[in-house]
Amino acid sequence: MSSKLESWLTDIRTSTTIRLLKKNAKFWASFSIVASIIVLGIIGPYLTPYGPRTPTGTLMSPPSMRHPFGTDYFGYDVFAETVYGIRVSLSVGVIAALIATIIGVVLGMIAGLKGGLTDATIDTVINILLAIPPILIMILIAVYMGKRGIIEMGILVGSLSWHWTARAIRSQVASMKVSEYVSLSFLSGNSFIKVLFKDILPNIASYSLLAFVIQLSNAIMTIVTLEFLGFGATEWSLGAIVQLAVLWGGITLGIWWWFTFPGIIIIALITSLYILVVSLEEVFNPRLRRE
Amino acid sequence: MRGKDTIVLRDLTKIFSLGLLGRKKIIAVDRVNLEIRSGEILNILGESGSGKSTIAKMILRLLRPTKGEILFNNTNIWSMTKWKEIKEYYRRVQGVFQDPYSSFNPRRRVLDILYDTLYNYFPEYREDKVSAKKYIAEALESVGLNISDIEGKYSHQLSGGQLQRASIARALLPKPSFIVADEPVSMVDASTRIDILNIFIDLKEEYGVSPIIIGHDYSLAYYASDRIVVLYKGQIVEEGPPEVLEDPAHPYTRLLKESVPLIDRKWSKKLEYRVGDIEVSRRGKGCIFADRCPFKKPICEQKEPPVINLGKSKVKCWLYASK
Repeated sequence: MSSKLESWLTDIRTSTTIRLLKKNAKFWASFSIVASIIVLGIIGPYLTPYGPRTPTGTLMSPPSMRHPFGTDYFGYDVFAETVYGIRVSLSVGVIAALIATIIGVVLGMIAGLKGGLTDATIDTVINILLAIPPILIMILIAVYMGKRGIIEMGILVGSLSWHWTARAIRSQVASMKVSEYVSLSFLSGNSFIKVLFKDILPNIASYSLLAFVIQLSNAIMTIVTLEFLGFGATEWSLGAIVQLAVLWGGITLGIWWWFTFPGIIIIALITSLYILVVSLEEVFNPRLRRE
Repeated sequence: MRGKDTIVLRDLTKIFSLGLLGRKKIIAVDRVNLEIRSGEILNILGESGSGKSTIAKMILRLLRPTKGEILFNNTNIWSMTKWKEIKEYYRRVQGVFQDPYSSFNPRRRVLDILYDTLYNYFPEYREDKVSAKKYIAEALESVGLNISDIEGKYSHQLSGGQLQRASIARALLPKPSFIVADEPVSMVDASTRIDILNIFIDLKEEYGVSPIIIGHDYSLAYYASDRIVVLYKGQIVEEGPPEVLEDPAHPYTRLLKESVPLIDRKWSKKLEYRVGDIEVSRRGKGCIFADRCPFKKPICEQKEPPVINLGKSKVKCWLYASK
């Protein structure tokens, strides 16, 4: 058993995918930015004595040793606001991306494998979601939601952004279903369940991982937009800081640190996740591989 | 059991629906009647779009016929619903496809797929790995491959010829009566083609497997076959032993013969080569070949020709109808 595990580990270490990943500069750059923002969200609250709503007594102080990101118009510490905001916005994003990926992969697979009326029905729903901007539906629902916690917002965003993944997985699975090797797998005596686990799922696994990362990037963008518009989670979040900064004239008052630091983190997070997808695709997709 | 299995195609028809709500209908296979007995090499010859691959997929139960039926030992293969019955059918009827590169899951080792096939059909080998390896090595040797050539390799690490041989070996593992080979040589090197066809000839002679070879190459069909079926736009136009290719009766087969380029003859473009889909609505009443036929008679466009038995071969043409 242990020798099997060892050989499996050696397989991973020597696999082309991992080897190429190690050489990819885009991967390392984007991965380290994403990782440091996550780490900041995790350990940040322990680095500052303040909470996001603890009055510090100093108003509109520029960045200093005491307040690394300065303080805002009301005297709250922007660093504390930001690190707590990262926690909330990232958590909502991860929940939303997980939900969207699971719904997308499952529905896409059902549509691709079943075909016919099932496929047409799912495709119609996808087209509706593509035609109506989902953010409008999200705002409408968010207004009437009794509680807007992290989980509720994650479900809201995730359940309305699965359509891209579903469409992509559907076309992958549909073409795989009629491919020669799947047909031959049936001829080899594999039942449908065996074909699903041996031939179809392994081939969409890497694709689903990419879909999750791009969903995460999109979900964070969406949730920050909702937060900025005032429809986000009722907890402290990145979008909410920028919203307050804009509402209370952070720009005209010249307190640039109020919105610049959270803004940079939002942009860095979304952009790095996007670059991460590009680099992963370069590694996973044999056609884009450069040795 | 082997030597007695038969596949009968009865009025086999496949119509593909295209366009919005499936309003455009295209006939791929048109009322094909054919009896395939084990113990012979059958060659289905036709140009692109003649429906030959569709027939292959239907025999392999991968595509459901629109009309007509496929009887395997008098059982309609679409009346099988349990996986157990379908698997028993696949034990007797196996397939090899055109593209060797896409015939193997790129994420699985080729040899693992072969073991998989063996264990699915002969579970007793699961306990006896030594005999299992021997069994697979023998199957690979019969197609001219050494087990060490493919051991531990993925499909992208092997050549097209090696993969096509491995694909034939895979089809041999369940000891089938028939192997449906859909253009098995069109994507391998010209130098390997004859070798692969020789494998099929050997399989018939040594193992009693009956290959059903589907192809578009006139001379390759002549080389490896006991019986030839010429397909045009989904209909069988001529059927007979390979000698029909030396002196074809149907004008279409003659056209095919003339379009084989020969080294010692100057190429003259006598007949324009035209292929097109035929929609149900646009199909005329008469002979399917009438619009291209150089020997067209008035009746050809009015009435469908009967199948005429010329002794050795059967031909679907008005030219041979007794007046």
